[in-house]
Amino acid sequence: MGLSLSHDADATSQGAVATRATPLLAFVAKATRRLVPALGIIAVLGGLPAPEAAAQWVAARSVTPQAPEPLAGVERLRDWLTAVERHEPGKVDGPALAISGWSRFELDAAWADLRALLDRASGMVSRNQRSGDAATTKTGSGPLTLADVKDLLGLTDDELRRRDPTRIVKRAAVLHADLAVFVSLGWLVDHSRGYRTFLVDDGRRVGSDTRAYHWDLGRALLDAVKPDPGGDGMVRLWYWASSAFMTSRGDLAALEAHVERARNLFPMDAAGQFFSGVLHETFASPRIQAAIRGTTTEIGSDESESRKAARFFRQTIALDPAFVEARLRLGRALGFAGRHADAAAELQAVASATDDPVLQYYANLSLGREEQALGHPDEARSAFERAAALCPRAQSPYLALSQLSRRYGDKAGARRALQPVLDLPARESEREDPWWDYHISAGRHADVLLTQLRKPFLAGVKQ
Amino acid sequence: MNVRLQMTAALLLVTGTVAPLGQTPTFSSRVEAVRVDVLVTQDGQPVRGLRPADFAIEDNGVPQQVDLVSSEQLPLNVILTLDMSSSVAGEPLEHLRRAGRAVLDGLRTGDRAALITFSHVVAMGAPLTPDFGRIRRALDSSEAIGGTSLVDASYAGMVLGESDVGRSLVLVFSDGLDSAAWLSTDDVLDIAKRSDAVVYGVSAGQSPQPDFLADLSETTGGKLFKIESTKNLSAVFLTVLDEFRNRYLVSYSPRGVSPDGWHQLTVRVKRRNATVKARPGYFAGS
Repeated sequence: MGLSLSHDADATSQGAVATRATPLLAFVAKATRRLVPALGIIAVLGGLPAPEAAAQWVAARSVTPQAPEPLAGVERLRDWLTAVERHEPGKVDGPALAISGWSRFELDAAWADLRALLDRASGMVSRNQRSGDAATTKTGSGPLTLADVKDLLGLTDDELRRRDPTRIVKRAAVLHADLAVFVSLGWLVDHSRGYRTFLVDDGRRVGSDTRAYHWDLGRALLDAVKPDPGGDGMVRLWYWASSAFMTSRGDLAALEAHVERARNLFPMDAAGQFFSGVLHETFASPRIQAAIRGTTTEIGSDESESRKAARFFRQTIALDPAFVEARLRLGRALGFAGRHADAAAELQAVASATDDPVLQYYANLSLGREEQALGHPDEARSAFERAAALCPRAQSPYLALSQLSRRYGDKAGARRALQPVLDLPARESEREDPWWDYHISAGRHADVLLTQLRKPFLAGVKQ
Repeated sequence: MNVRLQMTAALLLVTGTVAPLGQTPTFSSRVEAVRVDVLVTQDGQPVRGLRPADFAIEDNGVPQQVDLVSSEQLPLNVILTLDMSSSVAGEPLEHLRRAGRAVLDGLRTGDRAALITFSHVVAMGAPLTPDFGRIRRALDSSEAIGGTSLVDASYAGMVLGESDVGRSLVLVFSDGLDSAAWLSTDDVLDIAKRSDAVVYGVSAGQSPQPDFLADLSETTGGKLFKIESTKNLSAVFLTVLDEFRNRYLVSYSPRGVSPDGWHQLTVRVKRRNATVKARPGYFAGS
């Protein structure tokens, strides 16, 4: 399984030096299994730290467009708003196809045009209400009256006066979330060309690419929600649905920027802490640590990343003591830190507290390891056997049972315990083991969350 | 190299059992016997024809009397443990298949082989068998897809290597770093100290090399071959086979040492300029 590394060489040669190497990673999931084992992880370790730097880089390697004056024309804004209104959430429809062909530059320009027009419209409404003045505003497409602006934006006088684009940006954020999802699933080709990343498969760099800009734009749009995006339920759901989706796809590059903003917006929300923990837990995993060997990256050692993960999981539990999956992952992090008794206590609690077979499997498998570390072979065996019973076609519990027997000098027992693994079909397509999906499994509810997110917006689609 | 606490040796002697040709030899004492698989080279070439008196072994610093030395007459169990992750796809996979077939062609009557393939999936291509055609067919049908469970597969190879008589070579090929295993490297290296299988690792590619495979080879008294390309993989595999066949199995009945715990081993040959490679120690009673 592979990875890629931060690779600034190209950026440097283009004259846009990344000032730091931000870890950007993504796995590519396989659609044939619910929890998607990576077809190899595609890890993307980005050379670019921030959208600004990414913009520099992208600009440096293509014909650099000059930023237009805001409202040099309204056609682009009109096209974007039309797509936003007419897109049916969750569908690869005409509006989605149209906007998927836009560059990052065009998307930013449309958003800038909207903000500029809102600023002007606010003054126009005030003047109109104060003096009855039928004000107009100049654009590259000709003068617009207040009526024209209201028709274009579909906002009320009050919304214009308050410069409140909430209704637009929420629907637009759903469109751009859909675009990011569709690109990630390979249903649409990305033309937005966001930050640059490297693709890694099975431990080696297999290329580089730019990532879709739609998540970044979505965050910027939702920052404009009034009165306060941090107090808005739809914004919250947008972040958690998208975080879950990014996790399910192993798109750590996107997730890193996402959870940071989410934590700022919703500091008292357990989900933001949880997905942050998942991110750092994945950074600590062998698949990522293997990928970053010999490279310059801001990803820390497995120990330091695991400590960060544990801190986020503790905060998750502090905010929501019933967050069972955070306890599972905290337990694993504690075990990694050598705190086996604490780890076993957490994992035991998870195993008895959840009905979710996936969590039970992880909890028992991990509990067995901790019991073994504590010198409790019987308890370890029981835990591994429970994991094996939950997923009889998984290899990990049998390997664990075999290793346990061998560790205690039982060669024949080790062979017997290993035999089920050797008897399983050789073909990858006929095998399953939730362990392979552990690092993306925190996103297993992404589909449900995305459906919830889209539902309120299905009603208002304009034909 | 092989270290085995031959717990059954005394029983075999008491009952008068004589090990037939091709089975693990019995030993000249009613106490436990230790077997150490030893490679002796001079100027890079295996040294042949050594006798017990040519070896000097210290067990936890205590000199031991070498009882028996055997070499080529013992049949081999060769466990091919081959990385079939997606990074091997294409030409490297064909090189790997060819190298596997070359090893099978180099085996003799009485030898047996097994095939374990791994991506994130650890799979038995063929169990230990003298039917090399079965292994060839399994090699030909293997596909390269998925991640790398090097640690899990190495463990499975060692357990399989312990499963029968003869001397066991676990030949592990990988071109990457582990990314999917459940077992930890510490766990498997601990088992390696208790196993009598000898692991030879072949690590291909220019990416960072796995410490694990180097550690595993060292712990079991084997060797790690690092290669940049798989182009000459067959030659490397044949070198491994030839070297392993020319190793000595040296046995002694430990005296003056504790029957438990970790035993540090020092193996020397009373010959100038000879290089000796053997496992650094063994766990008694495991």
